[in-house]
Amino acid sequence: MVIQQKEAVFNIVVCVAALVLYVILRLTVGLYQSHAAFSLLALQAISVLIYRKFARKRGITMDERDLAIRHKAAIIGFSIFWLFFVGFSLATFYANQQTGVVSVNLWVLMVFMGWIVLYLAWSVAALVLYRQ
Amino acid sequence: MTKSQLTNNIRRLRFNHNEMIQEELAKKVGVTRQTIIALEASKYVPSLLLAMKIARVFGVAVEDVFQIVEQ
Repeated sequence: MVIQQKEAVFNIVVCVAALVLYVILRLTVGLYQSHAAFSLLALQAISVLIYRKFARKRGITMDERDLAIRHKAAIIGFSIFWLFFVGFSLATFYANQQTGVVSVNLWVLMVFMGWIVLYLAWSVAALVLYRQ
Repeated sequence: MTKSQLTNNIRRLRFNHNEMIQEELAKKVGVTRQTIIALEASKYVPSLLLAMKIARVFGVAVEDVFQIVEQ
């Protein structure tokens, strides 16, 4: 498993953990407090440092194939994120109509869910492309 | 329209060069071993630069390493 695959797996684990924690908190402590689950996403920042340290020891860790896969995975990730973003925005618009008010809770949910969708799609696409 | 596929003799050339291991070839051309594995399985089409580097390691022309197969 190359370093990019490990990074993708780590991102998937963090995103799924945040989602699971969100659902648990939502069911137990309520909507407002459940947003705390998204703080788990901050772990993604740590992954960069861990893998940079790991990369220094291993020598060549990224080449043209890895960059090509990263590029393709990013395109897939952003495409799926954009579908989610447009879908969520339109659904909100049609639910509230022109004079409606969008809850701050909904706005926070869209931002963090969008982030999760982006990284999940990006990471899964990268893992699939490495297997091809 | 015919579909083209790039095949290669990297595995054979490695064995002809003192059974060079994938790791050694990867290090010489500056890529990861996984990329050499993908190349040998014809699952990845290399850049011109990488193709020329591989050919230079074996001391042959690029055409002796890579061939286009029309399907």
